[in-house]
Amino acid sequence: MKIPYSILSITEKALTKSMDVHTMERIVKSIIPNYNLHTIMGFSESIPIPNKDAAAQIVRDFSESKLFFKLVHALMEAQEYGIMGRRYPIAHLHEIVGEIINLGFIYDKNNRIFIENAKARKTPNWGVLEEDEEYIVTLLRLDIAANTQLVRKYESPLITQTYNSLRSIVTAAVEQRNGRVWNWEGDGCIAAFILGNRNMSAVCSAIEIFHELFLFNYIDSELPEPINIRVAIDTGYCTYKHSPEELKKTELVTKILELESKHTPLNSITITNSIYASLHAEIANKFTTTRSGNTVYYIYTIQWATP
Amino acid sequence: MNIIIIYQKKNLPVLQKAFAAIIKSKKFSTAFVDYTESKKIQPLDKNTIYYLDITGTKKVDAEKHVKKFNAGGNYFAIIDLKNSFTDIAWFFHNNACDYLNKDMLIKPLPEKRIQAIMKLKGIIPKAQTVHNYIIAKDSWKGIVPDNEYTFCFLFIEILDIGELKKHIGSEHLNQKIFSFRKYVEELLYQVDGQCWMWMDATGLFIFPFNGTTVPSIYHAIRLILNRLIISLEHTVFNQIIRYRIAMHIGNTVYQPRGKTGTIISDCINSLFHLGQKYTGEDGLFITEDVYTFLNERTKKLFLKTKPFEGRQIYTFKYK
Repeated sequence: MKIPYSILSITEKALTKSMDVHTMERIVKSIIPNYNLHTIMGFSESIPIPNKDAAAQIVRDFSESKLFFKLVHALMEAQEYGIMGRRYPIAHLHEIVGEIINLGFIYDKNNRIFIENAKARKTPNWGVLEEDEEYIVTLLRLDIAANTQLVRKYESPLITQTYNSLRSIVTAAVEQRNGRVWNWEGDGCIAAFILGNRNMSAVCSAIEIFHELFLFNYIDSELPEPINIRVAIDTGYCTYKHSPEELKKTELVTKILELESKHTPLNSITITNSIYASLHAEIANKFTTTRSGNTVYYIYTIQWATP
Repeated sequence: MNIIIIYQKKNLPVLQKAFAAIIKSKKFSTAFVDYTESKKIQPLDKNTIYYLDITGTKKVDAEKHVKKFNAGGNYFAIIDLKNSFTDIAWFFHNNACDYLNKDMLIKPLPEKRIQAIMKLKGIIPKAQTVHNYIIAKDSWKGIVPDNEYTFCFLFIEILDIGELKKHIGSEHLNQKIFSFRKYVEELLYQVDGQCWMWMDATGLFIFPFNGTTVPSIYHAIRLILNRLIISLEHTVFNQIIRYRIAMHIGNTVYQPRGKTGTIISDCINSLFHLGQKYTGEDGLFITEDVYTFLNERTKKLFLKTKPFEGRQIYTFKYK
């Protein structure tokens, strides 16, 4: 995405007014370590570069959205936390952030990144995750139990219609909490959460999916038998890949596929210790502890209390 | 016994006149439903006769409609004001229980006709409170203040208010109630619900009744199932709340919100009694008037419990 000229122009002014060339370079090097302004502009190291020219060059080099957002974030950090112990009040910073918001992005304070505003658009990488970069992500893996038998037993249109309904239920529950369904295959999906209290969001999504599926099985489904699912949730570092096939090879995805297939009973949610630790007590109380070797898992099997 | 007349728009005045005596009768509950909306109908139970107005419809459509009602084993009858179908016997071969054309509707239909159908088909009317539903045309667009209509009412009350106040203080409690109310308002708005009254921790929502279904029941069920999530995600201060929901269908004079002080309604009164006096438990409680209009699958989610103020009550099985 190209950043509009008006924002680039304000940013250029902000850099010029707020710091010297040396500080600009220090900020830029925190994003691109081998960035050398003198080499890029063709000046020898001994010749000073005018503030305005340096700012213009930096903004030009950062005019592509992903880098530009990093630059703005670095300016926000310089104002809030300072560089080498000194804070730099950045002129026009409010205007810059305002313009970015107008472009359809919001600032996520927890992760300190600009992400797309879900009301404006929804992409799998929230508009900001970059290929091959590592992020802390919470993943939700959902598996449709006995998928193969169902597909063999019933007519294709009926199965397609049923699975489409399930997909709508899952997508609604996930996207409502600003998560994204990264990969949907015949027998289930993987959804990701990176924002806010991502562990709670993933668990609440899972619980809501079970409740909606309960209503669907009872009220709307035309399948003669209920759809049953398994859900596993885990968190950790994950290398972002655009390709679902590549994504499957990442460590966190491999781990969660194993957690779902080997440690999750039917119609249950299995979570790891790190997820359990961040849950609200009332939700955590629903989970029972189970052990597999040295690893502790927590399982919530959906059972309905009848009066 | 319910009589539901599925009418073609331009035939409504003729049919209202024709069914006048039956509408007045205390033995029957009658409702008129627009033909275009009738596709959404989930046929009710064996206590209902549907009169299908097929005047001017294509033969294929009419046959499809008839087969749908026949397949469900429902009682249905045919209205054909233009005599456009020559093979009337076809309807009876498909289990229709009555046939009316224009000549037969010049005078109001007598009650005896319905009783004859009931006798012929062996329909034994279930004991029920008799209603004359006043269905607003086009939902809220057709509702005019000072007039009486049939609404589905949803009462909701947050429980343990004293305990919550002790934990979070009255200022925070007000904020918590406000956030919950806002969430419920937004949720029920999706099914044409409006918050009609709200006092402290108690709210009353109304939905114009369409004569055939109660779509709000599914949102009421969602409110019960998702109580934990709603408490944490949609209300402030992380405290879990419990609430009770009661639902009923009845008639009342409509006044806009804020001008409801002068309304005297037995129906609202008894709904508040059901919501506040029937039980101390949280959960979803509905009267038989709501239960009647649920489809068979939804009915299975409810348990019959003890009657209250002369009405049979059903409760949602799960929490």
